[in-house]
Amino acid sequence: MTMRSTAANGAALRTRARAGVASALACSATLICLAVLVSLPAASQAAEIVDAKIAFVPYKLGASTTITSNVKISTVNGEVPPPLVKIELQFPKSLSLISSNLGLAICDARNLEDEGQTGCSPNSRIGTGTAHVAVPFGPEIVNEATDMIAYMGAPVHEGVTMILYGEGRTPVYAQMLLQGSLVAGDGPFNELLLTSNLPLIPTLPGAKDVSMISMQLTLGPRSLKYYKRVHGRTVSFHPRGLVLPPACPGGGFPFTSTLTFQDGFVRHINVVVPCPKRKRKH
Amino acid sequence: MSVGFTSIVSRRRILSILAAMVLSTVVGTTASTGAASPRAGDAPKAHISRLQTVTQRSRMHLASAPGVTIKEVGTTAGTYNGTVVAYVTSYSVSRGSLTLTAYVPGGTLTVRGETHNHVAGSIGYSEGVARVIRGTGKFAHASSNSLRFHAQINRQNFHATAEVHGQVSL
Repeated sequence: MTMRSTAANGAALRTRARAGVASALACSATLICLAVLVSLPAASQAAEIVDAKIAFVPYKLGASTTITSNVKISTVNGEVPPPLVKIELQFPKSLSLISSNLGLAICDARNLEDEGQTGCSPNSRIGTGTAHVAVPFGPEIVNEATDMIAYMGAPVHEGVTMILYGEGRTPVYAQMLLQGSLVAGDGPFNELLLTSNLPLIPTLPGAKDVSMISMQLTLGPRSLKYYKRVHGRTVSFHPRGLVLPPACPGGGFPFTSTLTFQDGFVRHINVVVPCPKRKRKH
Repeated sequence: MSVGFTSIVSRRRILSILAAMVLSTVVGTTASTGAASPRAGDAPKAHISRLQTVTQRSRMHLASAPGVTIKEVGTTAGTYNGTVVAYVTSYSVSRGSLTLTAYVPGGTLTVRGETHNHVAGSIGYSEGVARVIRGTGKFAHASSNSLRFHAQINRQNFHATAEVHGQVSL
């Protein structure tokens, strides 16, 4: 992982941290997962509360879809939650990638570091989103919205990898780049096991690190536009997303995630996207 | 009486042995010639199998809107030349199946196998081991369970290539 942050007031805060490769789709997945993680019961040990929702849009079996996720992190006493330091995400099996054309190009994380979003082809984007973070400035808490983009990364050992890139501008300019890879899972969960270590984003000396309080992420063709050359001209098109199986697995599509916070609290989240209701024939 | 009875039994045994020899000779001839002249009502004929090494390269394009299963059609060349229809099905990101039917002069041959899939940018890779599940014409008796195959699918336009190699018992 690589993270840079610079205080908006000019005081330089430049940090670069590298972490081992986490699970790929992790980042995107992370967001998605988080969202997928549907609702969580109130925390039993720590004050953190995680509420996650996930959905398929459109939700048509056997067809291309976009996974949308929405995760909110809060605390019982209303304080800013501690930063997330690790996310593990598992996707349900039976999602088809080879019959989609998401991620036609591969994004090199180094290009993102050096050039930002322009460093990677639009055809390598596989999802978009927004993260809201709480930035402590002394006693004051400032909320900041950060656009997130999920990219298809270079494959590792034939496994899909994903890069999640975020760029915040005000009040703290920060780039965040997370990488994860899909690895084999067990049971109802297939290869989409995502693990990602999240870099801490410092603010001012002595102040708390930036905390994520919500994230919305979509993984799929919704809001994505690809480009191709046709008869010498560049034309845009919407890619096909992950393809749902023709039959809904028993019990629906399960997602699960494990969030680890800076204070050591670990939250396990299980979210199931239920099977679509059958239409009655008249 | 007893002598006379014994001689009758001996003659019957000799006749039956001769009949058996003649019958076995006829059956043996039929087996070795491999059912030369089929006629309605004939008894099942013996089939002598032979092994043939098959190498096929197929180039295909998308035949219908891709879902979990992608239907590809195209041409095949190699040991046999003809046309081909393939169904590439994904169970998950990394697992699936491939069913490929080749239509060549003299018959059709269908093979099927489980696949290991992975994606690298615009190319999807699918490989595995297939077995013969169906044959017609000169492939009616074909069998094999060790045909290695690998396929590449261009995920932008879903053009595909596939190679199948192995020995088939015909």
